[in-house]
Amino acid sequence: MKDVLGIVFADEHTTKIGELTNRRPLAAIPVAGRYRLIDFILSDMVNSGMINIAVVTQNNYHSLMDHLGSGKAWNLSRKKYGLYLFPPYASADNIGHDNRIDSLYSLLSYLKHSTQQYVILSESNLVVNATLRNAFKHHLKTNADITVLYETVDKNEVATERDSFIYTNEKNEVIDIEINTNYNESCKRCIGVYIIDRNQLIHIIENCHARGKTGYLMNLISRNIGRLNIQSYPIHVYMRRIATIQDFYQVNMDILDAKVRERLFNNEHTIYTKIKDTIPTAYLENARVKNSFIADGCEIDGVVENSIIFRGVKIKKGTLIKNSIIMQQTEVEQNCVLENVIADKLVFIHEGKTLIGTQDFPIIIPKEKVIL
Amino acid sequence: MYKKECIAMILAGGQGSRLGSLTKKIAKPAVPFGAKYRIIDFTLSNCSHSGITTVGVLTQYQPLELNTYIGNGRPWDLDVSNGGVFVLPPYMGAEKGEWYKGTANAIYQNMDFISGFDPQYVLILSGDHIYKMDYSKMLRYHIEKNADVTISTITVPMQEASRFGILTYDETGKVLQFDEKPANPKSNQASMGIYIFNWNVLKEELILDENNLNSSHDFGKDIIPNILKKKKHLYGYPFKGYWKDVGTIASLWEANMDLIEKGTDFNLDDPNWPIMARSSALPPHYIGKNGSINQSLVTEGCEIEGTVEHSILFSGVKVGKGSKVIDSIIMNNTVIKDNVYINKAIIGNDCLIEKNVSINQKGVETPEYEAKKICSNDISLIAPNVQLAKNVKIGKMSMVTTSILQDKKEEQHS
Repeated sequence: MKDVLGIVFADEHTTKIGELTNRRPLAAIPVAGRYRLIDFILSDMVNSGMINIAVVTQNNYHSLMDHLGSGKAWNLSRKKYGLYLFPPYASADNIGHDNRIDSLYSLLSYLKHSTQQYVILSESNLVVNATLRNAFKHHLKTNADITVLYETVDKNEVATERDSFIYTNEKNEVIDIEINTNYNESCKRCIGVYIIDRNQLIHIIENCHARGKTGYLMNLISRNIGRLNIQSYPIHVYMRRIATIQDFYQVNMDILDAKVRERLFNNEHTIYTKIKDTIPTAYLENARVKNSFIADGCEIDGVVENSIIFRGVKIKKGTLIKNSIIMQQTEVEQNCVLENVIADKLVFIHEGKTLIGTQDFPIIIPKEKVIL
Repeated sequence: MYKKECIAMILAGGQGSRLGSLTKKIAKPAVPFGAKYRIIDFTLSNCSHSGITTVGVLTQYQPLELNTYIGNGRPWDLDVSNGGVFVLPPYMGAEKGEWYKGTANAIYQNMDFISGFDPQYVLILSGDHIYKMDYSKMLRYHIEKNADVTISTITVPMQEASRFGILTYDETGKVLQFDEKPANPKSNQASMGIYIFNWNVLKEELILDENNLNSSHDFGKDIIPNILKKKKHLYGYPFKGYWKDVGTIASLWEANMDLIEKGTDFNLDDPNWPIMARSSALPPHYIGKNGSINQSLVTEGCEIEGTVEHSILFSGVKVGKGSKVIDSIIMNNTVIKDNVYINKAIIGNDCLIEKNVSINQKGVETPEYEAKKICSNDISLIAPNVQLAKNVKIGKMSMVTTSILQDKKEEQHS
């Protein structure tokens, strides 16, 4: 798939998940012990053989820049192509971008100078592995102009605000799309990944810009139904789109399932991430740990159950952590009880505190908070 | 080439035969250590943190894995444009080529490499010690003392002094006497095998030594005593801190366990002096519903369903249900199936330990595998890539170098 260019949107047009995205884009939220959300789709692209990837950022992209760096960790620090970061770009006729079409317009010269025939446009909020290769094969096989990737969802599942659904005919061609709706008739929810011919994309962007049109899916899909061959491709393997705090909590808990771990983390398709020289995790005398996923650099002397513990977390003696997500370098002192808690980075919880949330409404402790 | 003030040469060519089958396929400096490191990481990290960015690594014994591991030196920030880390195996010249005959000869054969950087000082290091040391402080000392050679020393217990090169020096640090492994040591200041030479002095001595047919071409045995005889400025640099030669199975086991013990002065978790290593992006480790773990170091990619006590687990190790791992070191990607008992053992990487195997269980003796010279202190050793079939029992002080594919009892039945 060297002939495919990737565009990953790390902007915030889609969703926010409360405190966790106060100071970072959704793409940069920590997930699964040592990763950032964007690692999954980036790794999928790299493992599929893509070598030219643009990451489009909007606001608060410091943490993302720090994380991605030169792209070395994804083997994307290259002489030719590699990783390109596109922060907002303001010009006389374009004052920063508040919509996808403007963002893409600012990429126009990059798109024109690249030589790949195809483009994969993707959101950055997918926890997924090894799906793009098959989707691209499908795109070629069906001779599609555009392929829309979707997941099948339950009819009764309450759609979150920003979901889009496609309707297909018996040949799996897209015949209709509903954008940003919570009305779910088709059960085929777009996951935010589209495969398109590069020149076709350039044409759409220029056309939109000339006419002042701004809707992303409206112009990419809706207006082309009936004019272009728009195919659909279903994702059947484990995949999760992070749109709400419940999604975020759930995807972390899913990782405690061996099948999900096997699917997401296997030797053939590494999920790449920034490598740090973190020391191994030390379990001390009083440690009692069950069903938990624990990153390096931790020091654990307490009780941990059904939890995700990120790098460098310290849990003291007599403390119970249950059904929780504790992010990097957070410290929990002695004799605390944390249940259904999401603690962001560098939180400090003093001795003897009890914090109990519920599974569908976990307590979120913001970054660097000190709980006295 | 750029002129360098000081470059480092790491002697990593030793076979490490006292580590038995652990070094069957890899050089000693590439032996895994401390859950996610290799022995050479400590020296390379020290170089990097000391601002020494030109490093030659001299290898000749099983260098493949070490070469792959060091690569372009990026994990240690040694991928710089005017220097970097270079793996230096022996090579053929127009007239002759030969293996490294000794530590001094190894440097002699690479004099062109050193001259290329035109350094003022050359730091000679050994690739098989566990310690954290700021070489720039030693270099400053060397310059202040106006020395020709400075030898780093450490205080050792008097009763062990005869195992080391022992230095006696006056209150200014000037070395009066140097004895390699003396029967009756006069001091407890042992050489750590770390030397800073003025390059012009070293160059001259190496050439003299090479032409001396009686020489064993060794720094401790030949070069240092000869320089001392010539009344050159030889200084001792007293180092304080943790330092361990991990040349034997017992000392390797101990040094690993020192990382678990509280109160040892060796701390991996030092933000100013992190030990850097080449590591891959593995997922965090998982402790299962029936797992239990205490007093242990564990790293990425492990899956633990059994009990682990006072042990070191390297990346990708799996411990099955009902299995018990005690006082042991399990290296990368070794899979331990269910109901296995492992006590005080070092198990190499990529082993497969089938169900109901026991290693070093009390009362079990397997004289056919016993290797008392290598496996002292009741430690048992399983070589890398070994497979142990179901129900196999291995007793204390055993060294298993090849797979045991069938249990003896089963063999008799069939």
